[in-house]
Amino acid sequence: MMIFITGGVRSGKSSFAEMSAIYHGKNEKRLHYIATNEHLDGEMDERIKRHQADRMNSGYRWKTWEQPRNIHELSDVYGKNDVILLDCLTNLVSNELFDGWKENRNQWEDELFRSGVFLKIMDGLRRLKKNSTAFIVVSNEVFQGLPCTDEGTFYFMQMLGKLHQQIVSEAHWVYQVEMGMPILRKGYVADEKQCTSCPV
Amino acid sequence: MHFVTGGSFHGKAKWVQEHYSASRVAEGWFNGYEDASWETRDFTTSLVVLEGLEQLVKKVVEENVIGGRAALRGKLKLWLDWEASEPDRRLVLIGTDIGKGIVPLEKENRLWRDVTGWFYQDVVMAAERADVIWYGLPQALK
Repeated sequence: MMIFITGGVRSGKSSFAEMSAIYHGKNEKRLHYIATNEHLDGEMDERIKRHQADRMNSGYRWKTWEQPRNIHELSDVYGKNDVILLDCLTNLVSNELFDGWKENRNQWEDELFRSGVFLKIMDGLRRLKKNSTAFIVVSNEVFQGLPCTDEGTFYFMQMLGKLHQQIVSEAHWVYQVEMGMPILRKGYVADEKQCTSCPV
Repeated sequence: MHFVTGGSFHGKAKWVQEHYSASRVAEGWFNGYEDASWETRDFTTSLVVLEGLEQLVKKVVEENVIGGRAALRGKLKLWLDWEASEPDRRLVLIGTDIGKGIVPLEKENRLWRDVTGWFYQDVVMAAERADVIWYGLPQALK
C-alpha cells in the first residue's frame, strides 16, 4: 500500500507522515525512515536533529536509512513486516536530477537523462511499495508561484510535477497537509478499482 | 465555457485531453506558450481549447499598464459570443494559477500576477463549469 503526503514547507506534513507510519505499524511492524537529504552544510542540521529527536521521543523505534539517491537499492532489505516512510521526494529528485553538477557534469540538460531519472525514481518507489506493508512518501508543494525563468528550476518542477501526477494515480491514499490539518484527496473508495489490480 | 485551472505541472492539459477526447496538437487547440494572440476568426472547430491563459494576461498587461482587466473582459466577451452563436460550440479555457508564491520583486510581475487573479475571477463567474486540477485529480469549483 502506498500513501502520498504533500504540503507546503512547515505545514506539519512530516509529523502527520510519522503518525501515519505508527498507525499502520500497529505496534507490531518495524518502522523505517528513509532520509533523502544530503546534509553537506549546516543549514539542515538543526532540522535533522529535531526530526530525529521527535522520532526518538515518539516511544517507537525507528531505523534510519540515509539514501540521497538510488532508493531501489534498499528495496530488498524490506518485506511485509515493514512500514517505510520516505522523507522527502523533492530532495531525492534534486539529488538524482542534478547528480554531477558539482563536477560540471550537467546531465539534467539531456532529455534522455531526464526521462531516465523519472523511470528510475518510479521504479524505486514501486519496489518499496511492493516490499512493505505500508509505504509513505512525503513531498512538497512548489507549484504555486510565478512561472520560473531558470532552466534548471523549470526541469526540476516539470519532473516533480510528473512524478506527483504518477504517484497520485498509483497511491492508495493521498493527503494534502495544510497548517497541520490533513485533507484527504484520494481515499479507499476512489481506489477500490485499482486495489483489485495491483499487488498491494 | 469550462474553465480549468490549478498550479503548474499538475496535468491540466492532460486532463482536458482525456475529458474531451481532444488532442493538444489538433486543430482547435490553441497554446498560449507558443502564441497567445487568439482571435475568434481563427476558431474553426466546434470545440476550442485555449491553453495558457496567463500568457495572454502577460501580453495584455505589457500592452496596457492600466485597464488590463477591462481589455481581458472584452476578449472574454468575444469568445463567449462566439460560443453562444452556435448550439454545439464548446469553449474550454486552461489557466495556470500563478498567485500563491512570494510577492514578485518586479513591478511588472506583480501586475501580471494581480491581473491574472482578477481575470480568473471574471472567467469563473462566466463559466458554466470550473475545475481545479490537483496532480490529475479534478475538484469542481462550480
